[in-house]
Amino acid sequence: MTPELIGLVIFVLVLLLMLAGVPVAIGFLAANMVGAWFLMGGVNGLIQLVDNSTNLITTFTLVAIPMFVWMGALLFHAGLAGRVFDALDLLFGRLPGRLAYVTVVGGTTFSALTGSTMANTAMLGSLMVPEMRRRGYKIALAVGPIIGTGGLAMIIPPSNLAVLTGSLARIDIGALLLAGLIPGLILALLYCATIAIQVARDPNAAPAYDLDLPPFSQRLKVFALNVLPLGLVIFCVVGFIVLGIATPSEAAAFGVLASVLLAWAFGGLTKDNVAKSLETAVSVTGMVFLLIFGSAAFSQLLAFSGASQDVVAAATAWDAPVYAKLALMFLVLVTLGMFMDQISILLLTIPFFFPLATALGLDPVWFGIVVLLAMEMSLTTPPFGLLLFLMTGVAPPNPDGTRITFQQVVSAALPFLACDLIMLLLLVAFPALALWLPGLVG
Amino acid sequence: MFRIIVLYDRLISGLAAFAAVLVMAVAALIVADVTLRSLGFEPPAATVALTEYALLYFTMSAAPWLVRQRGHVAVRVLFDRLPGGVRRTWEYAIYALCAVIAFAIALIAGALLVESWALGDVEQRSIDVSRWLLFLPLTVGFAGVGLEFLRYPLTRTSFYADDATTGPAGPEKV
Repeated sequence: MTPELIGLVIFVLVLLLMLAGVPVAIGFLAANMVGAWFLMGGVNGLIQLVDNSTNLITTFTLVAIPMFVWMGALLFHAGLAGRVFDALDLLFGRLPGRLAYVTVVGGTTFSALTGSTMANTAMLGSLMVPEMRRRGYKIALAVGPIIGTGGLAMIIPPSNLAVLTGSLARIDIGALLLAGLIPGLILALLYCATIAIQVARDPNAAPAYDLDLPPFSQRLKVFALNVLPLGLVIFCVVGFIVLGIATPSEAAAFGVLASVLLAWAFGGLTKDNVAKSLETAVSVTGMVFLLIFGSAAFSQLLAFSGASQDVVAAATAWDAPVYAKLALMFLVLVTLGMFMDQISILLLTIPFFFPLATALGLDPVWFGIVVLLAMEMSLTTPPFGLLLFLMTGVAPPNPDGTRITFQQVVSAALPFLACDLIMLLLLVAFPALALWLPGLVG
Repeated sequence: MFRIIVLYDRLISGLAAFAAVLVMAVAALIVADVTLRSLGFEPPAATVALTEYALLYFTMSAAPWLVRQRGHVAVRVLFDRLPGGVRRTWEYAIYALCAVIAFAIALIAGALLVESWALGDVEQRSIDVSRWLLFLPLTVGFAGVGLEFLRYPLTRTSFYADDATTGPAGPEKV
């Protein structure tokens, strides 16, 4: 067997083990052992594999992941998310479709605090859907904005997936984090525009109702007291990187410090909340790090076998426009997302796609944002998008008592999926949307 | 026997608690380092190396507990469609595979630990660390992972229990 063929075999083996239901990290480790046995000389290969493995996760850039997860979990458990939504709810007053806008703006703010798509979606779903349904919002407006906004956490810094992508693809993590900010905010604006169009076309989709609103100055005060302090966390993470005060990992630690201070200031820094947030940090990060542990060696074995280089060479030799190849990679990512979780997809495709993107002359940071956007879209793409199933499961029943159907959720998601597609086209047409901010930092 | 099981359970929980302590320690260490640097003081040279080693200890300390918590991600799109009997057999085969892989790595890491100890190997970063200290978490962590996967068939519980879709820390959380 040629080394390239062994590379192909271990790739197929990982895929099969994943589909067989083997825990993904163990699937990678099993394939690594097979690869090391055949490529590096039997038992000696296995010893070499384990000997080298101590370096796989002892990388300073990865520190950002536990810090971001802990930061978001602490803010969530300390009850700061609820305060943000209450304040925004008051601020938007009698705006038609108010609760849908609150979902998008609150979800975007929370994305900038947690970096966790599922935490974001779960929080938005539990807080907003029951209220919107109670107020007579149609399913398209009650569920659609949540499905769209939930995924923003993958793009808006601090995104854990961005740290993971940057770390595995060996690109500047700080640049990748910053590159997601403007596209993320544009996406939020596109979601708001979609809501405005939906409300204008069908005012009954978000019926008006009586509200006992305090004076505007009072509402502004509530907003200033509950939302503006969260800017401290965002400043510690994004601001410290932009100003060159700290690396992304160091900025993440300061994000934790800011979260601790805010949780204390709002009276949420209890022993119980700290313990719960640490449990989240340990479980999420432990899972991610074991995956990196397995997949980093997998990437090295693929490169060692020559399989990665062969795929890149074949793809670059293929006589097709660069954007056709980009579209194909995007399609592969979105399609895989219908069957697999986002981390597994990244671990499988990064060894091939990033060298290929570089060979095609694409900016790796820009390509990183395109990949993250594909990850977001894959979560909401029918027929298997994970968020679609999640919302079908958790959404309260229709007013007539019937359950919300999968088709209703898909219809609600489609306009927001179209926003993602528009964002992708904007990124292709104007790469500066992603690259301008990292360029400022140099 | 019962006492051993209780001690083992405490070890798995204790390792997870140790992982949580490491997260707090790393955050404190980095904040102190950057603050000292910003104030014009010389920060300790060992910060980066210590945090990097902490990541290895963190990962391996949390790994067995995560198996117990069903926190390791698995793709279940086909698995969930298997009929009951086939699924149970399949599940046992997966546990066996996971345990074999984990024990094999623990064994090799253990052998490397002993060898590094005997040779006095040193890992050189911003501080020098005995190499056996790097193989220690691998040996303990993977041995724990193997045992935890064996625990499922022995206690007739399932890593794929219905409440555990992709585990409490599922992939989508990241």
